[in-house]
Amino acid sequence: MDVFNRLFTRHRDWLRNKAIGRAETRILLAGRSPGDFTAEELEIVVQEEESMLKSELREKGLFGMLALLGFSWLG
Amino acid sequence: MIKNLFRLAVLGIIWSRYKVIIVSTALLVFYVWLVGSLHDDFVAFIELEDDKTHLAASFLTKWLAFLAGLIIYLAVITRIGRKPTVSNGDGETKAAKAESELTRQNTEEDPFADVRARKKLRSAADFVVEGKGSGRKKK
Repeated sequence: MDVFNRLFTRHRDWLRNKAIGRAETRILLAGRSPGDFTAEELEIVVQEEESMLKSELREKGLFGMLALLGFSWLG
Repeated sequence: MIKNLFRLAVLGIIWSRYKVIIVSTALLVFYVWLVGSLHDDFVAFIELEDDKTHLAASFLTKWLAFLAGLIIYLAVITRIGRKPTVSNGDGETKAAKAESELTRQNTEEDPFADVRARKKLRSAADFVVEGKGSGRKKK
């Protein structure tokens, strides 16, 4: 299943780049630069951003599905 | 609703992937139809005039036009599948050069190069656990 592998890799790369972008913004907003951190520290920050992104996507997907099926919180 | 969305998504994927092939095939079909109807008109005209001196030439022209259309179509289709390979003096392609340049930049300047290369990232907790684990081993 080469197609699925490729799709999965592309999705993972997209997610990682997005998380790195967010981490970079977070670091810059804190008044520091990514060069000040060790590789391990950067990995921790990016990992946190990536998991936040994943949960956001999951939440959005769930709301999207509910909206498609015609359900809403307001009833 | 979901069925329609799914259908739309599949159509979108097919269109984005095979757009050029679909358009060129449709153009080829239109071209064949156009040449065929022009020839039919010409044959009808010849029958009305009752002058069949150019009939053989018209058939020959029609088939030559079909052949030319097919050759152009095949040329377009095969050109799409090929990757552009523009080489410089050293024999290295531009794409390969750009890729090696990007890798070099990634490793030299990008502080996130290690993070990008990792398949799975470790959390702070993972680092703590790993640290404890290695500490125990040392004892």
